[in-house]
Amino acid sequence: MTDPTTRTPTGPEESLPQHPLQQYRDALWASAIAGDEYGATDAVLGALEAGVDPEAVLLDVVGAVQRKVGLEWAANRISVAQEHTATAIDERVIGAIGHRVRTEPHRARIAVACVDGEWHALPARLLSEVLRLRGFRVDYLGAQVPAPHLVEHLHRTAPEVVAISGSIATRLPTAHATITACRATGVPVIAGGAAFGPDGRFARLLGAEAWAPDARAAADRLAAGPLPRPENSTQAIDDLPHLADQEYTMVTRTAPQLVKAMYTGLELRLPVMERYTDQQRQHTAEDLDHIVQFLATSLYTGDDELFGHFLRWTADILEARSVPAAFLVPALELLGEELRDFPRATALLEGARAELSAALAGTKESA
Amino acid sequence: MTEPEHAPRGSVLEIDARIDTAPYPAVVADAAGIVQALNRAARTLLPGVRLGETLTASAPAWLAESHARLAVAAGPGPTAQGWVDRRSLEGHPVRHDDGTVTWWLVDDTDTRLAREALRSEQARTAFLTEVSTALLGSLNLQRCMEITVGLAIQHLCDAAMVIAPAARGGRYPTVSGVRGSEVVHDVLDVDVEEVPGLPEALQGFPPVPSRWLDPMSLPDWLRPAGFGEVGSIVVTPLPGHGVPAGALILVRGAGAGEFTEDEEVVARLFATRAGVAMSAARMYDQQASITETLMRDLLPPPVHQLSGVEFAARYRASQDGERVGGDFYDVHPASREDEESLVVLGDVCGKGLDAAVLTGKIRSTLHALLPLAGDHLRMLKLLNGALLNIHDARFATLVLASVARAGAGVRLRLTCGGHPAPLVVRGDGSVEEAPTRGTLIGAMPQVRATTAELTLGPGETCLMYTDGITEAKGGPFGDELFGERRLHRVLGECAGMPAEAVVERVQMLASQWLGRGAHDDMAVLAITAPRGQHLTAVGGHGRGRYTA
Amino acid sequence: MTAGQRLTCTWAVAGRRTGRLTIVGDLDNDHADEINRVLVEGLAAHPGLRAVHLDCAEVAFCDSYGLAALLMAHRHIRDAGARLHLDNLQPGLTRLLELTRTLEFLTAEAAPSRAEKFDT
Repeated sequence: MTDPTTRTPTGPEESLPQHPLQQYRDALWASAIAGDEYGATDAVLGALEAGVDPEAVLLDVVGAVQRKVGLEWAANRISVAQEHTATAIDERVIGAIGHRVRTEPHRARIAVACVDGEWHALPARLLSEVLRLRGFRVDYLGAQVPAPHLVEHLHRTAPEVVAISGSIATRLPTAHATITACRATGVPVIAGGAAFGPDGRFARLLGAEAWAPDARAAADRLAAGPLPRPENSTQAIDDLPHLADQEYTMVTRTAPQLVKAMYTGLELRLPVMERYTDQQRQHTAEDLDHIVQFLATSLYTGDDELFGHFLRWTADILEARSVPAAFLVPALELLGEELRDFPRATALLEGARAELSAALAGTKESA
Repeated sequence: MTEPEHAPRGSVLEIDARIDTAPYPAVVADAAGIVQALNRAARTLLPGVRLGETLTASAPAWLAESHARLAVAAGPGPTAQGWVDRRSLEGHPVRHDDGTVTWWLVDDTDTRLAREALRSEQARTAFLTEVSTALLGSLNLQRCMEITVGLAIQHLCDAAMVIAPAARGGRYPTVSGVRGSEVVHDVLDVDVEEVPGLPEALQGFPPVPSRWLDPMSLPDWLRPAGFGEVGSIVVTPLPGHGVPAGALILVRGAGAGEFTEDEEVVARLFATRAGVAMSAARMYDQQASITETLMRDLLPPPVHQLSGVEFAARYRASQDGERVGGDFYDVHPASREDEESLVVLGDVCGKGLDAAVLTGKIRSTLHALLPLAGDHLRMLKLLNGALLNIHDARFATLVLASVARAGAGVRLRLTCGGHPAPLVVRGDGSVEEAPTRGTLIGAMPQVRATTAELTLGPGETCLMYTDGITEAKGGPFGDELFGERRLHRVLGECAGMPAEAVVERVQMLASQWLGRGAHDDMAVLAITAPRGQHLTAVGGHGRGRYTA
Repeated sequence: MTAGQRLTCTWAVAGRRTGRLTIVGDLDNDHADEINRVLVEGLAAHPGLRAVHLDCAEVAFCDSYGLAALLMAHRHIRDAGARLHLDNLQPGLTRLLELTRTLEFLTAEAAPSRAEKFDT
């Protein structure tokens, strides 16, 4: 999702140098992070009472605070508990706004769901509320919607559009299956969220009829008129002909073995791992698992950049937690050895390894 | 087509004997179009053509026109094509030096018919394939009706309407459309007896063929809105899977021409496919609403904050296609603020619908036993007695929790019946197991259980869970159990979190642990004493009850 | 979908009074019914047994469905007039049986009459 500060919010005190809704953001942030539901509710209801457009309260106050939660977590400035607490409080606050401001539904019916396995439900929730404010009839199905449930819902209710939200790139193969299943029922799909790429390239790749960078853009697109009905002459494989090489299938199927092989190999190369606590071992194994999952997703989408971006992000996350990111390079080498018979995976790993080594060397020099 | 061998090259005013008896008709005309000669076959084929008259006056127009075009064109000249009676002819011109032309007429009726039949067959197949693809995708009746109307006005007619059999109240759901505008949904309160053939089509009995209506005697509701004069209109039954799916009405404008025999065949095939799709959608809808009604009592209930205590719960059935399974929970709110609410969370062995039905029985039994909630052991014994009569060894494990607000904290009485003990997360992040233990329910004649009493301070949580969480098998290496130790560690990080955040975190980590692995049903329920910030807050957003 | 490993059950009789069922594998939703299939056949083939031992040395995993199968086995053995003995219980299974308070019940002396007293 793009930064909402680049947009013009509707609200008072436009002339302030900082964001005009900053006072509400600050108040909500402080309450949410402290788990203070009532302070949080006061902050947003105060904004509504001051005449701020409800959509701006949702997107430029609650949405902005939620983005800050993600950034602060990544920078290791808040704990997991604070992250979850703030999210839960934001959810409650959205409920409070929904109670306070209502629009009679007079527009088409829209189903909003997250990709199965997606735990960041808040963007979808915000979109649902924005669409409701604009008069759409919204069925919000929430996070963790297995595709069969979604398809059943579409058959039963025949919405005009289904909006699918995803923030985790490794869920893209699942998103593809979901998008294909929705389109097969004749319902067009609008996709949004960080998983689909900053330019929406994966939404197009996976067959969605439309993509939106954020909730406001999605609502604008849906308000502008109906999406084209899906053409059902294509099969899922037509979107991604490179899957014929089976590399994705092989990597996902053998993921646990690959992680094990990398872990064992790392233990030989990095003696420090002998002294790891159980939890450090688990974290390392999980990091390795993520590498395999992101590699698989890059193979699935045929997009090398996705893997490179993930590695840079992981390196940042690790550095923020004072975990040396250097182990990523040998990990990639070990994975490369395991996958040497797969040309696409090999090329991807080699490119990513070279780029990462250069980046890490650069960090050291500047430090 | 090859030129006949002995085509004359010079001036041909007389037809020689060989040409005269040739099997192909030949007509000779001069530059002005005056007929100069005819062979025998030509005289039979074209009895109206006379020597000395113009082609324009006596020959078929297509031949006369081709001849006139030939006069101004250079080169050998294009062939002519046209019909005489029911025969298709190809005319091959042969120019002569004196400006006359011999038209050799070759009968290509069979080739032409075969080619046209092939083309229309291909078009029909393509159309019907498109119909099937479009209709098969949806199991929604409204959508199927829309698609049917859309395809009809795109391929068969100028306006169309689908009428479904009467819904409750004797009204007829319809979808109609006129080419070039959007389809319209409506529910009509009309007398279908006004339209001959329509009642039978809607009842699906007796079987009726497509029926042509008199455009002059149409009831108004059948006239497409914004449509000019109706030229032809036909009612076709939509046969379904043994049940009538409705009727399809196709309309053509006054100038559009009637349906040909071939078009009627296509329309009938189209109606068959549309009918099957619509009746499948109708049956799906009926099944789905029956299931929904039956499932309503088996689905996990929504859980909210009650009487100053936070409750939150999450459930995931083992099979992705299902919403119910062997885990269950309920929160029975206290009728008064100072009384106890009763929370139940449990697990019957097995998965899927069979297990869910047993959870339904347990939940309703416990509901009936609510007045006894002050005595957990008594409740468990009565429940045990009610379940024992079942003739397999199906049993349940469960936890009962009586919950009441006590000052800034929450007082709990917890009793396990063969279930993993609830875990308590203290403010400092330490995690303890509630000291309660008891017999599983429904398998043995005796029930014993001990009840634990404890208090949650502000921000502290008691978590009830089913073994689907701890027995989740996966992790980065693919073969480890999530396990109790990991659950304790995860909960330790949840100190001070609101109830929803705790259940979300636990279920998220267990689900991610599973990856794509198979899993049992999973349920978690958190009981949390709200944190205390409200005491200092000012304002009026419904927090008064917390200041007590 | 099946996560557990296959279950094998071997039935043997020692003397005229004792049956032994050796269980190897996971007692879970997909496999646990196997023990009762083998057990019912064995009890039918050898009437008059006084004791049936379930050898659990190699039970790797037992879930609630597995426990239901053990309870069912108890029912079959009791109805045949014999007493159930659980041999070589591993810590995981012991913990499950203690948690659910079924250990004592499963291995108790067969009740003299079928009309057992219910708690009320």
